[in-house]
Amino acid sequence: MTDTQLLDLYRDPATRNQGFTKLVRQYQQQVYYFVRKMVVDHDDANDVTQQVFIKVWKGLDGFKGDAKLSTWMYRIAMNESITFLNKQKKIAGIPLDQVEHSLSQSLEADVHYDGDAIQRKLQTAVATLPDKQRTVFILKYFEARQYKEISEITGTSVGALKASYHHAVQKIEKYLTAS
Amino acid sequence: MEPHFDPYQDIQSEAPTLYALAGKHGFRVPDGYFDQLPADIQAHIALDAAGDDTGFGVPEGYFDALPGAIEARIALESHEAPDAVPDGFFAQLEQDILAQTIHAEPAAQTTSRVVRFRPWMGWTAGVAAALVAAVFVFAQSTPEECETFACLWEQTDTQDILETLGEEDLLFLLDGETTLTTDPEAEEIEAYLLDDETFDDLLDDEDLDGLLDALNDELLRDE
Repeated sequence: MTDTQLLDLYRDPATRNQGFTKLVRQYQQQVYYFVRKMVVDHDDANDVTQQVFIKVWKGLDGFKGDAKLSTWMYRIAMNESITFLNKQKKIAGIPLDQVEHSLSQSLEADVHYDGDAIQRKLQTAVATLPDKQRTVFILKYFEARQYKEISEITGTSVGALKASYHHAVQKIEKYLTAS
Repeated sequence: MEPHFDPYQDIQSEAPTLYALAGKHGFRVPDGYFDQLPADIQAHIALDAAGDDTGFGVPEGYFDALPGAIEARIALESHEAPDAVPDGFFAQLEQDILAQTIHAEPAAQTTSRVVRFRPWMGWTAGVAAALVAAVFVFAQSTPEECETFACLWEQTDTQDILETLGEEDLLFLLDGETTLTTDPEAEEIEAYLLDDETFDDLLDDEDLDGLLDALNDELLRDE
């Protein structure tokens, strides 16, 4: 279903709830997995994802369609995830060597995570990036978004995004290949 | 046949390990999670909408009287505290500091008033001292002579003043309980606080150093 069809359904009072449910069904996985890569834990991702769609529900009347629905929702998801991470402050800002052991162990024990050792190492490295750089890295590397769209989501220039992404790539590669 | 588009081509040579892991994240969800999520969200929205209608009532006029009751309670507890100070102590302290540092404002502009002790007055004294110190540091460079706080504020670059104050001081000034800030000044302070961190600040110092090192290495290789 196209964005226009979804919005038409939503804007008709008779089909408003149906339209919103369809919108959730269409975008829930995209939003959830982006949030999950930001916050790592499933329960946290579930809470943040629900919060994102509540914001979408409240803001949809004012959505003018200047951007794609997915871009708009990524922006909300980014803001909600960073707000959540700022509240947590469990990992952000802590040196890599200190957080490495605990995060790797919690991923290993997580029943909703089945990555192998090198994937756990990758998630650990991503989790220790500064929030904004982590957002850029996840959108580019895991979500395979174009720089132009990431620029619309984050509101920053393509040049700054490229520099940030490539520096993150270098840092993570160095960490992954270290003994 | 169209050539295969590889979104990770740009990192293939610089990060072969990351390149090999592309597309894998290992995150899973409980069975049926995405079937249930839309209903959970709708329930959450319905709960949110009902949030204001809790069914709990309050006596008529309760919220009109509440601020006064809280203020009275605070005043009572302040007097009971072992480190309580006399009524008007901090207001007087503030005036003493201002009088000693800016050598008194013109008589026409000073007004005497009875000031009741309030908990924020301790802050006022601190903020006033910080502001006065900040203004005087930068007053050296103002072209015109100023003898009043208001004049110095006007003649001095506000950014210079703001940069010398802590975030707590600035937030306090925004509270509006102090006579030191007028609305336009409060707006400038708010704008300064909001502008403190922009998204363009993607690269922290460590990142920037790393980039510069990488660029230097590249330049040396080229030579």
